[in-house]
Amino acid sequence: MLPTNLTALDFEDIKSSIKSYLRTRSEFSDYEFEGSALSYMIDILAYNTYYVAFNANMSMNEAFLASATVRDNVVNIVKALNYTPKSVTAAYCYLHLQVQTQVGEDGTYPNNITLITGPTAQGGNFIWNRLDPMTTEVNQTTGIGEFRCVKLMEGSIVNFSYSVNTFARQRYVIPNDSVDTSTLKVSVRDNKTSTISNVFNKVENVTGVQSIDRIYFLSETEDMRYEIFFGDGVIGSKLGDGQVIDLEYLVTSGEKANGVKSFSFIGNFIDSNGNEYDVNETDYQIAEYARFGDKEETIEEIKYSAPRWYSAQYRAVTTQDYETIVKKIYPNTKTVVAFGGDSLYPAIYGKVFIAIKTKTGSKLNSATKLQIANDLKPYAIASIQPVVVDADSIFINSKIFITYDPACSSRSVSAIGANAQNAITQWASQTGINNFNGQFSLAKLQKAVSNSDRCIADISTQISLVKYVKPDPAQTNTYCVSTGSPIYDSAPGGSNTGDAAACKKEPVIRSSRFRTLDRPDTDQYFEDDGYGNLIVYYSSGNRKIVTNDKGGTVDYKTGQICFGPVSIIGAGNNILPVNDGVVDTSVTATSSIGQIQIAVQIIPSNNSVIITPTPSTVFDMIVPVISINPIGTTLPSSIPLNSLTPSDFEITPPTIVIPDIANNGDIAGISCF
Amino acid sequence: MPYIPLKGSDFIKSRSFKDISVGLFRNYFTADVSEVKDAEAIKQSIKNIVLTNPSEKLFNPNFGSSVGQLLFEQLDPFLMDSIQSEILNTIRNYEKRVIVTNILCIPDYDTNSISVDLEYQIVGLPTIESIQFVLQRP
Repeated sequence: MLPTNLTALDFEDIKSSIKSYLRTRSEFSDYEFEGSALSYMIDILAYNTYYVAFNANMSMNEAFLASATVRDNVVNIVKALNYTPKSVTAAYCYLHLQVQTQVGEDGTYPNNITLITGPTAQGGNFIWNRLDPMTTEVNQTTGIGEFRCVKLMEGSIVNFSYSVNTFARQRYVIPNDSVDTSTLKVSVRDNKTSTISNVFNKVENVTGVQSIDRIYFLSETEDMRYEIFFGDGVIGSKLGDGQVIDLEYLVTSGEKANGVKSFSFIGNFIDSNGNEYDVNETDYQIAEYARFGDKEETIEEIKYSAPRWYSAQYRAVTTQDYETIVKKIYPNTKTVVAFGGDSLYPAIYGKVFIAIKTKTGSKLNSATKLQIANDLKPYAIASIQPVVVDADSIFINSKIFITYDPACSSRSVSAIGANAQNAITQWASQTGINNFNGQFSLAKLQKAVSNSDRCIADISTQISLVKYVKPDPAQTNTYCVSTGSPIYDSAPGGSNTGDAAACKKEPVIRSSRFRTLDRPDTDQYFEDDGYGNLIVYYSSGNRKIVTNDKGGTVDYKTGQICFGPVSIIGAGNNILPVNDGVVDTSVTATSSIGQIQIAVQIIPSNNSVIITPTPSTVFDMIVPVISINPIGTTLPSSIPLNSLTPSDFEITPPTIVIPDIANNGDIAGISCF
Repeated sequence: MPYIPLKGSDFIKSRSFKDISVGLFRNYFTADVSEVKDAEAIKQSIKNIVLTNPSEKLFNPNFGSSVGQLLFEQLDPFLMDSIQSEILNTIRNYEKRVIVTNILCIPDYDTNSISVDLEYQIVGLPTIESIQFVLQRP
């Protein structure tokens, strides 16, 4: 009988298969004894088979993008899609510098002063470099040259040269790993003695490239090195024998340098009179601490991005194209959503809105938004204007009441709580929470919790929403927020006739404390009256003193809440200074308190399914409060009337952190089969 | 299920042991590889086991004896004890067909070698077999 099963891939399985065959033969019988010569022979046969099977399996796996595991193979496959994996990115910081220059021989200060390229600061055991010289005018009265927002990048500047030799097949590989390719400068000299060089620019596709254009292509090659390709005389200019290619680039520590906040200046300046200056004449301040360092694109990220980038074809037509391209041109993007202005109410035609959630969690400043929008223009259709907006957040606050069967197990109440908490984190990572276009489903949350522990008998939940009003300090404005879904009506059918017998409704919207310009010493709040108005009040003992019964409007059907017109001077403990009843509204005071935020807690009409009000809104799930009671306990109402606690959210509460799906692509310890 | 389904009739029942000769000599009568049988097969197996170093056998790193490493120790009576017990343990673990009845390790200080005399009984047979081999550093 011949072996019929040829799918065994494990050494022991193959060996057993050979032994099974020998059992049917009469020639030899000692294959069962490990010391026999036959056993050694079987070992060699099985090992050979195992080796060939592994090799065949590995070869086939590594030939396809979906199953490849070795980085070099993944990179080679995506080369066919014209995709270059993102390199490690250097962290950068900004400094303000002031240099006191010297009076020249003519008795005047120099016209200008230049910050020289190279190492400029030390901080956190890293060197921070200026990659391009920066020149500023010198104040002729004080002699001070001021540099604002000097961008410094972490790493070491490396120079490397190649001599072109067309007689041999030459490869121009950047000979370092951890190179930030965005800092790569390529220039070509005619020969070794020449001091004049031509700068070559990186291109990603051949569209519009002429035969004389000085361009190069970049691609990743073996061992995470990058290789440079020059033109062939048809697409881009061709290099000739004896020419010298000069490469300058930054070798960086990537994300390890993020968060450095302390720097010492080590740079040098030269003024227009030729005098040099160093730290002794320099006063420096840290404008922005180090951020945005990142590691190279992982295997999983390459596998995800390359086909999508290829399908976008360097053009932004559909909203998905915008999302793919934004991730490429702004590496700090964690998630992104793009939507046409026509989907807004009221519709804005001719614009595409792009909301970005950053990896660092920070909001984009207006300069970065403009930069991203400008970078998108070459890809966009001519008449479409890309507009980058901030991602908006809506918080879901849940209180979960669990009843459990004490007879089920001797497990402690805290263990049941821990199981439920883990289940909620897992549920959050598998749903649209913390991502754009999300939808909250209470049934799925409850199912996840009830499945987390067999001792859980029943679950009841109270759901409320939290939005933040973010007023401009000491400016009179009306601020609107929207839940995107109807708001709960506490007494349907009630009428507001204005007399004392009229139906009083319980508030379903309440705010945290804030202070207004007209009452700078009193903490005030607002809540709704149930009939479409916001009432502003403060507490005096057990009484509410209403200061404005028309403080804003509420549309219960659309979820639109507008507060104002009002002039806010602070919220929570973040208040503009008040001296003898006078509010300090100076720029210094307003900038020192930062962003004011008033938490607004809202009871939604339907707590089973909640959708985001706009495509650029993200659900953030506040870490739920879980209460565990024995079976038979009376649980509170599922509508949290009279139990809204917006003061808990004056400071943005901790939300469920969803672990990244990014995989470092390391194959060690991972079974190949 | 990676194995071939086997029936009872597929088995060749035999009380004898048959192994290929470790030298892979040619049998001139059959024009095939020569075979060793019964007591000789067991003798060859014992020698294989004792002279195999641990981790030498593929995917079975514990198999074998460490007498090869012990040969680099100082040649004294304690070493003889260690080698004897190592051989005994190895045979007890990996050759279930025999019971060792006597073992004698004799050092030869002139040639830096150890002569091993091993007497054993094949399980189920009344006769005593013996094997002699010399352990020497390679």
